[in-house]
Amino acid sequence: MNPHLNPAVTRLNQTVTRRRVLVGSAGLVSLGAAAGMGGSTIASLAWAIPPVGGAELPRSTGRFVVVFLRGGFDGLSAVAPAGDQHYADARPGIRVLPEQAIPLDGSFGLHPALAPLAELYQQRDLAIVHAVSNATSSRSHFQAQALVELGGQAAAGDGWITRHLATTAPPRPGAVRAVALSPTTPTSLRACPTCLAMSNVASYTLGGRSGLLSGRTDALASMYAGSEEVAAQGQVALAALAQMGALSKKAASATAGAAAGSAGAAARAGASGKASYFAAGLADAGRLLGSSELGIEVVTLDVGGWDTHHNMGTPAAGHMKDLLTDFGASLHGFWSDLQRADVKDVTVVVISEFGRRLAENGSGGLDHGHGNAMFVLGSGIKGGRVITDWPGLSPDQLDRGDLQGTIDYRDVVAELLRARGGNSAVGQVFPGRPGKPVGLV
Amino acid sequence: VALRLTYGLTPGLLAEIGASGRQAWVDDQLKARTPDALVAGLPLVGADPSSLDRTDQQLRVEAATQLQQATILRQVDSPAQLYELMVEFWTNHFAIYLADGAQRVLKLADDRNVIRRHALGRFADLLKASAQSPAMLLYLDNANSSKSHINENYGRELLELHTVGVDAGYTEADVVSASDVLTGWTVAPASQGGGYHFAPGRHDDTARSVMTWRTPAGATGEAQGTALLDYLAHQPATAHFLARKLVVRFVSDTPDAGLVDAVAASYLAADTDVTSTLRTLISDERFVSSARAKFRRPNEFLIAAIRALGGTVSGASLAALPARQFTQLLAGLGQAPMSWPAPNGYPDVAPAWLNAGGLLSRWNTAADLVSGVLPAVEVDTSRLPAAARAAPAAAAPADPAALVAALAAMVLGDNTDPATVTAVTQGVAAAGSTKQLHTALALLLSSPRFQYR
Repeated sequence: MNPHLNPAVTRLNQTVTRRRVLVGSAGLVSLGAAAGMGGSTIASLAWAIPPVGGAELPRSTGRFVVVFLRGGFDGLSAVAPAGDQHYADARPGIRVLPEQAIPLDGSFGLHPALAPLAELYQQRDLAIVHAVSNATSSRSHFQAQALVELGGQAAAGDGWITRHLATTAPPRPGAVRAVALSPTTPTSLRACPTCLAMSNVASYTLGGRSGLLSGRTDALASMYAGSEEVAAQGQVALAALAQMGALSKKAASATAGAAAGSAGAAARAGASGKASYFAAGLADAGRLLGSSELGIEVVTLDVGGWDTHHNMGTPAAGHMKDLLTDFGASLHGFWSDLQRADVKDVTVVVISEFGRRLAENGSGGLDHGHGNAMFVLGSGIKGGRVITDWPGLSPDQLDRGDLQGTIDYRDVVAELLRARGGNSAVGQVFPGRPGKPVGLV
Repeated sequence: VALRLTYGLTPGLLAEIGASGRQAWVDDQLKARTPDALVAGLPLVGADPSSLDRTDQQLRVEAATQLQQATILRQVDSPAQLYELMVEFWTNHFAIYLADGAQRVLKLADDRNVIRRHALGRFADLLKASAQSPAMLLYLDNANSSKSHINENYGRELLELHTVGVDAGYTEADVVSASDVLTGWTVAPASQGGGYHFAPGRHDDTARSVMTWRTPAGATGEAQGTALLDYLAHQPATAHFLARKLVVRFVSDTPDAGLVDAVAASYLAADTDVTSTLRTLISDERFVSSARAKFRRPNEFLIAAIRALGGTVSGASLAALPARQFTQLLAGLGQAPMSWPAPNGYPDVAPAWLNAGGLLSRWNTAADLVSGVLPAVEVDTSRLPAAARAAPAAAAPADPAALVAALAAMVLGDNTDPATVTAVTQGVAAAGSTKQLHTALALLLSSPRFQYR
């Protein structure tokens, strides 16, 4: 490692310690709320709190890929109650017909475009949780997304993934514990001192096309030596550069060479020969989790385009079919690559802010709804099942025209964090949770 | 003040403000508009969408690219800097995702006839223009909403994002009613120009209520929607929502409640006039005294960097560029114009943007910018300070500290600090002798100080 970067890494470790102090003393939530959105305030507050006890945090074990389908993913198209008469009546143009659905159990069938996921379901690596609620009755994208990512704590200054990392110790000390594959920091990673947002792995190098600053890490480290938030993030950037240099080069050449050698990548690339945004993101997630030099525990991915207010088409042709085709093939390709590499400790969680209305609107689309389907992929989970406390779709069973939510997504995630993530303090990640066991593990 | 009412310092800006006096300069900025001639090199920007074939894929891409390039060019070079800041503000407030099909062509008209026409006018007029903008009608699906089958996408975002805000206490029933009232507001077929069109046959004339609004007695058809929009524009909740957003934009991520109230009161007193509202904000002591609280978003970083170097963006060379090259750069930073994929617009608080990967992108962009490898950006070295001109780039300067101090004054203005100068000086000393000027500039643009305004 570049000796110039050691101070940065040291400071990072201090930042981690500060975070632990926060947890140990007063709990993250109230302090986060007091600190509001101002990251620098959070840091200074943390300094002001005297350290307590020497309680060791449990080590985090399994690793997670959290996929957020932005816009309100229609779980009733993806995992359809195709034989339900209310479903058929409400969606004359866009429904999945019983003969089109891939049967999962007596009640639900997968959209035909999700055939690759049926294979994972048969292998029992894939579980579906249906009629999931999102901790709010709001039909607003932005309220619902924020609340999902804040773990239901509207006033929290930090995201639920931030709190998961704050309540576990890294399996190996490293600068970066979580990566968001996104140019903006997702709310689930807000106020995380050991998290990194990047557009993609290949571009995570210093120098740009000119290479002008590639040797100037010492000057940057000295400019970013302070304790305020911008400096702390600069230190993460420099430390991660030192750790990720080799991986970025590999990613760049793999992207250039169309990921030769990976059957999964080839399948994902499809006819165009170009990987979709989701497939490319998952390939990066695989690189980050597969690297032996890094200790990345969580990767988040955002996939947009699910706000399908118009022209969804039919399961045979159209917009929703195209969206789901990419989704299913990309996820299947990623999972196949992990299996080939014999990676067993990764759990994929797929979530959205809400489902969509039961009844089709005037534009062949669906307006905002409520209850939704969630996907969980993991070796050794109790997969091959649709887990649900199904509320029914008759008019009196709906929540303002929408599928009710009967299982809280926080209970799903909490169970996974505890059983597969080694987190014994999920009540701090999701205050007031977990509720009744979901039975995924 | 100059840092927050413009896209960043230029080598001559402080002298210009000093010459006219701060108050006169602000008054001029509130009146100034960007001359059309600035984007003469980008012919599609002035085109009428009805004259363009919306189904022509190549033309669509070209139209969207030119609009993005025009946006950047105006932000860098327009003398009407405050006007351009407000154009960006409203573009983001009434966000339309440019990559969405026909939007690539229709947004040309939205930009010109909605956003730029009303950016410093009355919000009530801006809101009505937006509601009748074909790009908005298609983006949020109101064009497809009819009395038999409403589509509530626009009705919801009208309340949540455009006017009263999600905390105003409206209900789901209000969302549906607002959508009912606006049924029939659609677009004409492309063969008839594709402009706004009210279709009585699609309109639900039933009297409705939305929050405390009731369909006025005798109002029918389009007049019902117009009345609702006027009501919404004048709601105290709208005043507060817009005021808070303006204070977040111009002052701080955690706005002072008293300042928000003052700006909101001014908005209502001025019959939703944006110029008066801004005047209240700018003249408030809490605005004046809160410099450097805002972390620059990626777009602001790039524009400020170009301006700090005395750079310009050439419209002619932009037009000659292969499509997308320049905006790809912004996309890499995470903020290409009009490319946030949701109707709430780009976030405007530091926690969304201040992250390690984002800083790295800025460092790389700074390096490329000063190295001259960015297309269509021209840096005029004759505007560099004397200390830099006296030390030719090819030779090691006699006094690196003096060089850096002079450049820091140019790039950072009074936002500079000794620690930054010391760090940059060390970096310059370690750089190869041919790269010292460029290294100094790139490091200054990469400094924590430059990331704030």
